[in-house]
Amino acid sequence: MTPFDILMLISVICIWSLLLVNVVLIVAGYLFYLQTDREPVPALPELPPFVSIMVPAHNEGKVIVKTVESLLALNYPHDRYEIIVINDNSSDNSSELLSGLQRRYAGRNLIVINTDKTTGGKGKSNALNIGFAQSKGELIAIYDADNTPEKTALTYLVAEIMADDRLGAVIGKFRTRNRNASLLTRFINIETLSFQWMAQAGRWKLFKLCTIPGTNFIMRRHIIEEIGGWDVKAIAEDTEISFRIYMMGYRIKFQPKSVTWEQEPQTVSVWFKQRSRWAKGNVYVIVKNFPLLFNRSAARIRFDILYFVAIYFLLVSSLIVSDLLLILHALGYVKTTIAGFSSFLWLLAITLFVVGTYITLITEKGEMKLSNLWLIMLMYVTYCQLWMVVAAYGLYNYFKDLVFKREVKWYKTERF
Amino acid sequence: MRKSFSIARTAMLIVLAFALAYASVSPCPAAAESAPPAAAGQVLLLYDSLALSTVRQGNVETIERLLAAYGARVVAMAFDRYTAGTLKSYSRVVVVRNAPDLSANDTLASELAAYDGDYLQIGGQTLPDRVRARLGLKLTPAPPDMIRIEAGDYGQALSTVADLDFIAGTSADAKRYGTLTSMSDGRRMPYAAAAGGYAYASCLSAGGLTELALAYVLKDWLHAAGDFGAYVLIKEVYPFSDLALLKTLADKLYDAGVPFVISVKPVFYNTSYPAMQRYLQAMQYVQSRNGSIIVDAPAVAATSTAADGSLRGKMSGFIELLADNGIAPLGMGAGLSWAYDQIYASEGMSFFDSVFLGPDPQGQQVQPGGTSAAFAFSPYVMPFAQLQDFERRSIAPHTPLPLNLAFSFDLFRDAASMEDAVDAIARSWIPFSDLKNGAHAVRTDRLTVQSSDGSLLIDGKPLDIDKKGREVDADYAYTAAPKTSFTKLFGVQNRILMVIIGLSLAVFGLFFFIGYRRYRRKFLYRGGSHDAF
Amino acid sequence: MNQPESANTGAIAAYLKRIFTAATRYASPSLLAAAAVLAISAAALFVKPYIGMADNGDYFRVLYSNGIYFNAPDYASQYFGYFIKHYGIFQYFNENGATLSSSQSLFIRTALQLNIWLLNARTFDIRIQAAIYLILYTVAVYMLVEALTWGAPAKRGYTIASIAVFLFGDTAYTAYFNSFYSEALMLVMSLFVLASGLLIYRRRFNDYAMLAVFVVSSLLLVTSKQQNAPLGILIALFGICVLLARTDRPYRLSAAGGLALLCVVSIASYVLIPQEFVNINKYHAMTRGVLPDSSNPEKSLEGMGINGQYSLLSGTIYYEPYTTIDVNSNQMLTEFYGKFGFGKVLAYYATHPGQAGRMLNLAAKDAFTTRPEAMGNYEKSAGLAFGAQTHFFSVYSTLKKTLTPKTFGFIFLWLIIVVGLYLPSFVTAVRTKNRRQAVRLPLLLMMILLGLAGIAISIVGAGDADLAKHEFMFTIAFDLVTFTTVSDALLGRLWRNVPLRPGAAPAATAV
Repeated sequence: MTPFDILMLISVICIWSLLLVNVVLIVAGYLFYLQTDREPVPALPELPPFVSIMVPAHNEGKVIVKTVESLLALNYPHDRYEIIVINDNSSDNSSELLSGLQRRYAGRNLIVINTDKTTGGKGKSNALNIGFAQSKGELIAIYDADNTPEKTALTYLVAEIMADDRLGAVIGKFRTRNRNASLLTRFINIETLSFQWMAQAGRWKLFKLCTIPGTNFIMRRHIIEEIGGWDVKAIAEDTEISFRIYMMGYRIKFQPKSVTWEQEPQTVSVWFKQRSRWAKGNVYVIVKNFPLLFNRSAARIRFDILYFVAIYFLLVSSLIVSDLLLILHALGYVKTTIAGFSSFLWLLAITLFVVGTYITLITEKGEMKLSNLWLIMLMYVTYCQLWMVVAAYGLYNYFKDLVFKREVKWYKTERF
Repeated sequence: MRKSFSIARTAMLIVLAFALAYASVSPCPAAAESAPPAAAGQVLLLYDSLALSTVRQGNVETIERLLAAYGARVVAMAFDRYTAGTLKSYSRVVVVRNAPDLSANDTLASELAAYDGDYLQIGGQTLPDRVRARLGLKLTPAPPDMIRIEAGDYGQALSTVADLDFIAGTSADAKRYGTLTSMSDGRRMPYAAAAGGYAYASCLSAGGLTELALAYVLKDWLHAAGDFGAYVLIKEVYPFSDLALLKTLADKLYDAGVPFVISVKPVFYNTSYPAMQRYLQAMQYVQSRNGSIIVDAPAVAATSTAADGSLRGKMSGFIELLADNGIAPLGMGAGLSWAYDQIYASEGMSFFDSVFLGPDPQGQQVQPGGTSAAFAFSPYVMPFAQLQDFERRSIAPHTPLPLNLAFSFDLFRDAASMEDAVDAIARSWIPFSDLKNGAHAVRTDRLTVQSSDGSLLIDGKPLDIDKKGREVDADYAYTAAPKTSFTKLFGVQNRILMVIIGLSLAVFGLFFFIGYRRYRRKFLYRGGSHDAF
Repeated sequence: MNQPESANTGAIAAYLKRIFTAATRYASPSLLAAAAVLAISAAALFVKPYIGMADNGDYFRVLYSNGIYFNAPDYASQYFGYFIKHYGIFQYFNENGATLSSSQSLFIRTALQLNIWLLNARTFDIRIQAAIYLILYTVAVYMLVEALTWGAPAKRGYTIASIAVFLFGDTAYTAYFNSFYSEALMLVMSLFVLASGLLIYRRRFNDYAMLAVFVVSSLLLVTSKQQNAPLGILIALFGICVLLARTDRPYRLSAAGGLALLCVVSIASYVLIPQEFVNINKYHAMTRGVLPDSSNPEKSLEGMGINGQYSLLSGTIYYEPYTTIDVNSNQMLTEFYGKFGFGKVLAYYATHPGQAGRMLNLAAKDAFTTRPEAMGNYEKSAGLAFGAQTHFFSVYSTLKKTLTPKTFGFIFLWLIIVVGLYLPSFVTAVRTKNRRQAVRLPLLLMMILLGLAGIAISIVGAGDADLAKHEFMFTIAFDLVTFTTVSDALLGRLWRNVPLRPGAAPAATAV
């Protein structure tokens, strides 16, 4: 037995425990699906509440028109919602496009806030704060600039949050608009679907908790006011807000019937930048909220914190350690004598991964294809491994920022 | 009658030998003192040519082996390698003449003429005068004709031998050996004649009856006495051989009452393998069937060098391995060249006092030496097939053998040839001797293996030859399993996880079933209800 | 006091810079690299003490069949220990037959003719052969460095050139020229194959000329010894990318013809030349390959139709001085060697991947040793110890031998990294249908596979016996591919497209 053995053992245990946690989540998520699939969405109240939809945008000229148009086309009573586009320090033609839209839909509640370097340009949280200051809805919905929500999306969200006072926010589902564009987007499609069913639906089912995904969600205005707006330092403002909402004793519900279609990165490098930014953001939130783990009043969100800690620290470091040991072992620099799991077990585990992912897929139309099975297998060896790199990179960047005190700014996801 | 005669003759010869020994020592004590002591008991073998590509090819080797069978240390030398003065150190000289056109150079000729020790010549017309005179030898060229030779209990027709000379006449007191019969005119001449330390034999060719005929001459010339035995020797026994066949052979010979010797090839590596266990078991079985074991010489690679130095350890290791497994090797089987190689002799053969020397015309040597190694017991190895070529003059042999003789077989290819051979052995009527009835000893640094009067001793303790050996390990671990840690923990984890994953898979399967039905109902029959895009 | 000094250094710097610019004008990095390799190697090979390689017993066959014999009286005592430069030339009938079974003979005979014309009709001086190889080698180095540095900024270009000298001027390589080992030929031809391929990809010289070099050097490489025959099929397969580099008919036809020829020669030389998978290699393939690591050697043997008792030979070598059975005996011929061939051993490893993996790991231990150990470099007259090896210009091979992790895992990672580095540009090239840009990765992959095939062939063919020498193909492939990767990395050409046309400005390549 060598020190490397013990390191390896810890890694292996971490990896396997997380696998088991995810299995539980998938089961819970799927039960949620079976249960709610046929339940009707609650009806809107007689007088639907006024909703402010905020769309932060930074150089989104390529997609903003489509997004705004689909928001304008929602089946929510047109006079009961406003659209606030915060065109934050864009250098492209966004502002012209947006004013064109304003002209075309002159009768609608479409507000465009253009900021420049001095007034804005400090990231999504800042943009949202600017938009929030101008909003007047009692509910605040947020869509990313690359979204195409279905007509019913907002209605379902509003109906859901109005039906239950304990809900601080309701999140919808997002799907991949360009899923056929490349292998990567196919992977992302599978990933987002299974992640939402597993993590969001599963956690809702078990703990009445979800994490706000950054788009297609609705919140109560007073909550935002109470927490003092968005934390401008947080890159993962969504996760941050989620934690704040939990802490106030509210729940966040997942309403899978509210769907928005999102544009996903089509190339690995864009994807990598986007995801490592998320990862870094999540690390920030975890670190910030880590003390809550020892706070009695935060009992309900302990799982969430633990879950994030597990994924971003334990899993990543375990995977890195075990892979590193594997490489060093392959190079002959370290010698591990640790016994392994039987290969049959590994095979079972991979089967579990594939089947688990697949059953979350067949909740969606058009996804019950044999090709998806192959894609999942391919994903296991490519995409999932890349995720590790992403998370590690995010972690690295977080600490780099911590050391060099870098300023938060817009990280732009490239559009196609 | 014949027997009593032979005893009388032996007695006379012994007396004569003493007389001769006395005679040779007393006249010139100076010479004896000046001679290197090592050479004193040695035989100098001089030959004019190796007679390659003639019927005589191999006869130098044959005489070397014959001499070895009498425990003589031999220095062999071609005429042209002879250096002046060599002869002085020897009291016994054998000269082989194969080519009448090659004559001894002047030095050798004059020294031979002056030489007064024991002298044996095979073939040729030129003899030292002293020898010719003492033997009263008259030689006549033999006609180019079929010749028949008779010696002991056997006869054989010799094909035409070039430059053969008949002994047409000898002095009266010369002893005559065997007969040569000219087939055309029926003249009968002695094969050889000897008198007073001098002897002459007409010819010697390898692989024929002349070998045996000469042995009778040599026995007297070297004053060898004692009872000689015949042995059955099974050679070419490898661990790769058909070991089942070997066991059957042992059974057959045991049933036929024939004691036998097998010469097993040594193994130096992987001696713990099951394959080796089978080999050892076969030997144990052979031993329990009245077979004796001797160790064959290993094969030598063309690239071997004298500096290698591994032979001693390997041989003693193998001997000790055998002994540890209840097998008592009593001697060694080797090609003649082994006895003439310094390294082989000192590192490979020094454990043994009994060595079966067989022919090996292409023996690979690493350090050819001048003097051959001699052994207390060294039967002359003759292929049994050679014996079968001899005509028997009576059903059962009754002339005592002139030397210890091992009739050799290569381990048989199949059961049929084995049956034939066992049959032939039985029909030969030869009373075969049991090797372990003689006194043989094998000594390594660690242990001693001995035999005497039919019992086998290892370090003085009698060996139970009927004891069964170890079973072959069916699960022998060839490669050491890599050391692992946390084996137990992982074993438990393995099982727990397998159960959990199995259960999860079952649940997923159920989900899949439900999900599949729902999917079909929702999306395939009624069309998308709310998921339309 | 500081003032004049700094002025001085400034002047020196300016002077150096002038020299540098002048050098740039007259000597391109490739020319400089070739000249340096030539000079260093010539110093090693042709200046006393001459550096060469001792005979390990392999010379006999190749020399005698080409009309040369050992004329040193104490030849046998110099095996492994000393380099010998003079040999006798058969004056009369050569009873060893003049079979031309390897391309090496071509070079030996050319050298022999030159020797007879220029020097001596009775004594063959091996340095004539070394000169031929060295000239070709110099050209090959020039071509390779040119392919990599053409259009590169001068400073980086010279950096790469110096790396090339460091790698390819190493005496561990060039000492082979003063030997009758086919490794010398393999070295030169491997360089030509990669260089000509890269030059086609960069459209540096005439495509047809480079295609000819590619095909001819491949032919010479695969026929240099019989073990290399399968490599021809590999080259022909990956050569298709070279074929696809251009779309015009004449080019494609000549490329297809060349590759087809390569394929045919490769197959023919494997099939037609009498099997040289001789007893010694067969013996080692089994006793130093299949058996020692098998969990059940008896079963392994029986699987090939051999008596399981032969498991006792496990781990032994053919030259074992004292053995149970004569390795050349009839019994061995019929019961052992006669029962299996290359195919059966290959099939065995294919069905026992774990064992194959362990053998590969074993092979990796020697994969980074350019110079076989205990193989003397000096003549006996130089007065050095038996088997003494030179230290002259051998830093690279020494570093490589001591520093590289000696596991197959390393080789695997190296492969993944190289392919990973070149994959993006290849994918882009395929996407944009840029046929020439798409030549590079397959070419490098081909070199890597040639090396790996070399390892595989040596394991299957002779177990772990004499691996250091059998793995020479990998040694070359590793150096060539690593060199290419490093220089492309230095020039920032890994990811992006590399300028091809003469019209493209060199500046465009600057990072």
